Amino acid sequence: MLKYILKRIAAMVLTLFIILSLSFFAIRLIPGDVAGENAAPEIKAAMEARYHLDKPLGEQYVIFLKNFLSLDFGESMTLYPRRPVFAIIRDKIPTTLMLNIFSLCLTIPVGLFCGIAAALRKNTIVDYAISAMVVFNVSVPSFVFATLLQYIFAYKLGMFPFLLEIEGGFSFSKFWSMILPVLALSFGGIATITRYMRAELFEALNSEYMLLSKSKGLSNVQSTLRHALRNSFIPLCNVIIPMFMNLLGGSMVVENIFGIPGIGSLTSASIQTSDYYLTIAVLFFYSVISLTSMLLVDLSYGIVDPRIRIGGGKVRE
Amino acid sequence: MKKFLAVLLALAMILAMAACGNSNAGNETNAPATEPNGNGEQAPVVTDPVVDEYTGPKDYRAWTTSRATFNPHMYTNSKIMMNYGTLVAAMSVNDELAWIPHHAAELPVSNDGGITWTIKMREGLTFSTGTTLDATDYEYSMKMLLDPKLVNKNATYLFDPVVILNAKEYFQGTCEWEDVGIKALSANELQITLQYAASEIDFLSTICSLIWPVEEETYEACMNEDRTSTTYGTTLDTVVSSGMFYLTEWVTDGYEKFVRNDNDPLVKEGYVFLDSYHARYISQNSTRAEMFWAGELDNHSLTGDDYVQYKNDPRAHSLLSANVWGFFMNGASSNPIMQSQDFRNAVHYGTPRERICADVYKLYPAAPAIVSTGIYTGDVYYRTTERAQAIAEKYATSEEKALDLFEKAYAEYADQYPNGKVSVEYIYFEGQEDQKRQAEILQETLENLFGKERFELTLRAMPPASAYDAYRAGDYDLGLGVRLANNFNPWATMNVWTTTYADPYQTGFASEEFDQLQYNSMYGDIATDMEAKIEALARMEELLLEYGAFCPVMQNDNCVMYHERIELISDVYLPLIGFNANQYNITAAP
Repeated sequence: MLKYILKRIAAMVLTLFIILSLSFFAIRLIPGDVAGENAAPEIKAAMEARYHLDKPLGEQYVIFLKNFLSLDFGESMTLYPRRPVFAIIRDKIPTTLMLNIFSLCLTIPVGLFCGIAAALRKNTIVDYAISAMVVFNVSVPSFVFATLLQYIFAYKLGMFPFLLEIEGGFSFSKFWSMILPVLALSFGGIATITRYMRAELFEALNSEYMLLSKSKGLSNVQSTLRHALRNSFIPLCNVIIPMFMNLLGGSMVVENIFGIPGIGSLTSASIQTSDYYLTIAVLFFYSVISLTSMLLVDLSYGIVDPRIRIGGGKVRE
Repeated sequence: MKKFLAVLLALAMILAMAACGNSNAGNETNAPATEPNGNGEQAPVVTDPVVDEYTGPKDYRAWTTSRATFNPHMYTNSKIMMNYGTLVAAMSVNDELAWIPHHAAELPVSNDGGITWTIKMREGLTFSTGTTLDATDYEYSMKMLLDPKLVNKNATYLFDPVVILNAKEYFQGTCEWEDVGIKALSANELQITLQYAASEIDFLSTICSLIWPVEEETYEACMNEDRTSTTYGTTLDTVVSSGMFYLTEWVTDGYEKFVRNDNDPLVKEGYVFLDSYHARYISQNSTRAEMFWAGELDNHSLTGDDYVQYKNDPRAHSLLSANVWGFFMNGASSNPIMQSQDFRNAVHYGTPRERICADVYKLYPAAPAIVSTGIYTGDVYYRTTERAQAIAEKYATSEEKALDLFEKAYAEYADQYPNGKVSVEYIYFEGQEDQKRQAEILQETLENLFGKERFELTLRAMPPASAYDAYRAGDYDLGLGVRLANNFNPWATMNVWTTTYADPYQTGFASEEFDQLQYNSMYGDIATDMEAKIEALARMEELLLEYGAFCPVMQNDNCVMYHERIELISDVYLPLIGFNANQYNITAAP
């Protein structure tokens, strides 16, 4: 197992290096100007020299790698001028993290509950209602949800504030202001979990081991809880663990609508403003999250399901 | 199943009723002061005048889209930085722009025709940290602004358009600080020496209004080891205020709050009425609109249909832009007909700018000339002068003139195109629906006017940065864009059309007369003669229009609606300060 983990980490480092290099070259291909379109020629020249943009691309790459390996991620060039990119990302994570934790607290139990209810009551009105909700949640984009929630519950009914409360520490009013964005963030996740849970549990309920468990004298509830549910959770790792990892990622649209100073809009904003260092740092950050979550998903299979062994030695004849 | 459907239907009805019903968001006093009349238009409702003076908290609730930095050397847009003071403040007095000494004790004086300026500082000024603020802080701030290692984006303020002696040379690392024309003669006296004489308004609107002092101790503490970067102004604890307001709260991309500084000289003199100014960062226009109508914001920018509906509402105020948008016309294009001045002029006269503005942009007025109505020349708006009005009339849209000119150009160039069908390409910015519609209207109008069998306009969408690169390379026929203008100094921004400009868009325009006029207006014998400068500006504008280097289409004015509890110091929009947020007043509770 340890050997496997080490191998995967080595592969991760290699992948990150490739992503980093590709990001560097891809971003340089996007037209843009660090000084701004209407900047004076003297300023343009000085800015380009400052960020080595006046040097050949190969030389820029070597300088970039050298700085990156010494953990110097550079400073923001245009979006937050002179601010270290690491500090920008670090400062935005707490808000995103707080919202996403609340969102997960809603998404996972509701998704599981709906999935279980739909599977146990398959082809009944409950199943139809939940399936309709799933189709609705999957097909309607989050910005539509967010806009509608804001329009109805904040503007028309005045029940919730329009924007996330940022001032001060955690309070009831802040919690109240989080409800709409949390709902907007959760709808998609609830649908995903419900869909998976329903399919897996339904398959488990119709499996032969369930028949065996019932024939051994277990009640319907007992066999469902002890066998069907446990087995149907295994494929869910694929969905739920990345959700936990995505706690650090944000949603650009929901953040824009509810005025959330999170990390969601950093990527597009940094690309639009030709903020090369910040763009690469954000892409690197998301790559680390994504690769780590993939590793955790793979490792989790071995933990959740004892039948799955990774790197467990040779197969005995 | 039927029960389920019934429940679903009931839920949908409840939501629909909630969405369509009367809003109870906000209280009675926040209800918009307009009511729809029978035609669906908004008619102003007369509200009772405020009898009793409001004595409650005066917190202005604003919005902005973002705040990149509070470093006055690096700020990237014109967002209000009301926490910083300047030598002289532009204020609204009796509906006119007035220059009021702020950190300066009196208006700067020049005794040698505008080369050397002496500024006496007020005594007793302090930063928000309590540190004394005097002439040496201004010298330090300008030294740091020009520091060749720091490469501050706003360094240009000290050498363009008003040129401080050796400022550019110091920025480029070719001279010592001692050689630069910025000297604190004492704690209370600052002397600025220019390379070329400047008029009073040029000096006041640049050096005196755009240089915000930084506090040396904090600035140095934020500097890195090799002195190539400073984090000054990037977080709340690195911002040191010195203006009519102090920045007291700031969450990047969240919100900012300024509280009135009662020790500020202009606050003491009674120019400021607000207690505080609180701005949330809201990038979504629909959110801003809903918050405004619910009475949670004190202002809102009207766009599109909102503008049409509310443009006559007394709370709506138009803001004049200094910029005119249009398209560059490349007289040096490899496409033969583009080299024809008659053709370029035909495109100018045939461009349906009025229709584009009415159908697409709605709140932007059509502009037949290059210099905007927001450009202030001395004490008058340039476009109100007789000379400028004559130019606007001469170059107004005219299908007849367009057709005549096209006939001439066509007769000369048609044989260079297969089947005699002239084809010209128009570049617009990708991903911007308004600009696409503008392009389509232009295409339809010109093709119908010149004849589809003789002329076609092909459209090409490009990202803005790529489009501008194409203009630089001269690889285009017609291309949407703008050259930003300076409210007070249109002569300075005309330098982009001179043959000596370092970063030009290729249009083929080259005129010795133009170059000479631009130089004389800025640095030559008419630099301080406003009447002669206005004449020179008019001639420069005329030369550009005659050649057909740029086809003006619209002026991107804005329209802001204020909450009825907000009292503006003046209804007259003034250059540089607009309605001056520093002087807003509040007459009622939110």
